[in-house]
Amino acid sequence: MGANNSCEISRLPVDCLSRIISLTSPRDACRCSAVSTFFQSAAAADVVWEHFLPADLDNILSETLDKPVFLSKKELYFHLSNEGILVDDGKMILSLDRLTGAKICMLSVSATNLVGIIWGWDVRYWQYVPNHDSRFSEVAQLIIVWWLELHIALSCKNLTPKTRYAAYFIFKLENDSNGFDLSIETSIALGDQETWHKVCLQPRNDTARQSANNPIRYSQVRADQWNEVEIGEFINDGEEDDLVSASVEETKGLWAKKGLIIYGFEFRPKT
Amino acid sequence: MARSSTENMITLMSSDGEEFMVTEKVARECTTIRNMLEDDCVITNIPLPNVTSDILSMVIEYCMEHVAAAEKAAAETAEKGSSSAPAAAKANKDLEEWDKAFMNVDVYTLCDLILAANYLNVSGLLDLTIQTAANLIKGKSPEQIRKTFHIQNDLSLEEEEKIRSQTPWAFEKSE
Repeated sequence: MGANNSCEISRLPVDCLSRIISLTSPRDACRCSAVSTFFQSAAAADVVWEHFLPADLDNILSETLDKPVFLSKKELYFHLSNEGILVDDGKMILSLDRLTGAKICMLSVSATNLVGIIWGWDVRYWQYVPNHDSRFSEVAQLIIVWWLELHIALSCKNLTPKTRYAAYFIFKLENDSNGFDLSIETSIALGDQETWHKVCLQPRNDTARQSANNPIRYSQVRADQWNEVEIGEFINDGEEDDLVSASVEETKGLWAKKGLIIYGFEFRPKT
Repeated sequence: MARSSTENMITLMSSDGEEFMVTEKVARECTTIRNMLEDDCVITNIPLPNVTSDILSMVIEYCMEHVAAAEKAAAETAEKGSSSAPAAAKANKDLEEWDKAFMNVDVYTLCDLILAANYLNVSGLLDLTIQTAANLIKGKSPEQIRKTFHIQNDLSLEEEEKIRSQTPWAFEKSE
């Protein structure tokens, strides 16, 4: 390093270059590691990755039992973006969007958090069971309902301010599921803004192309093998006291619906 | 505030021997110099062996502009009892514009300014130059970063490949 007079930036103290990199983004920092050995060491510094971690992370870590073990802030960042941690008594998984470091919140719909399921307390309609594909202790399993109505609310302070988010419904349909080939409705509300969409929990097939004439959103398979459908998007403008609420419902046709397993609701940044 | 004729003047000497006379107020914008003055209040001549005359004159230009802006804001507040919000916002915007124009330099000068701001501990100038350098990195590939800053890649092919394979998503084309 510095052998060549043209490498002016290599004459900077390494902590100066780290400060520079901390003002970019996680993706830029990863790219910086591949520039030169000097950039590599500057980009690995705690001061860089501390800047990309949530400002309230210390509070979050002090309240979780799922404490990650890490040797550096970079390692912590990658643990949080790859796996996340269970917070809020195991009812929420907090992880980070690896490109930006924005928070991703996955909320469980379990027996301990069932306030949002209409008829959710009635064992004839819903049960709460462990599922080996879920990190939560339980997932909600629909036995049968005619009136399907799920609500969830999240305080905006759990999310990264000044970021565009979308909420997603994460689920699976069982082999004997019934009643989900027709569209159901979702809503997202923040402040006095509320938007509704029609979604289909089945994947899109060729005969139902998405278009202006067919604005229904179809489900997609995730990397973790669960399915998801977008509920709606909103901008978290940083009003901490605000609640964002989402719903998934079919309360008009009232046909029988069964064979739905719900992992939870995910709020993640939308690019 | 009228400049008092008894205001202390300090002479700063660059590495190449050029002398710059500045008011103590301007010199104090550099925390390193402020600390020297506080340790030894009779000092009037400060050699700066790490800063060339080209760069020192730019640092002084920056400090003078920011001292003048702060004095102007203070004078307006004193005159009206309180500063009017629109006037203060305009003054801030003007200073931001000035900073932006001041940062219209090549990367060699930018790096020298970072070094000088770091050595002299001019926090405003350090923040400004570091942000400018960060903006030059954002969104660029490693090759483009090397080109921008004239950096020679001293990583072996295997090392670079290993780094890229740790976070392949960071190297995918975007936008």
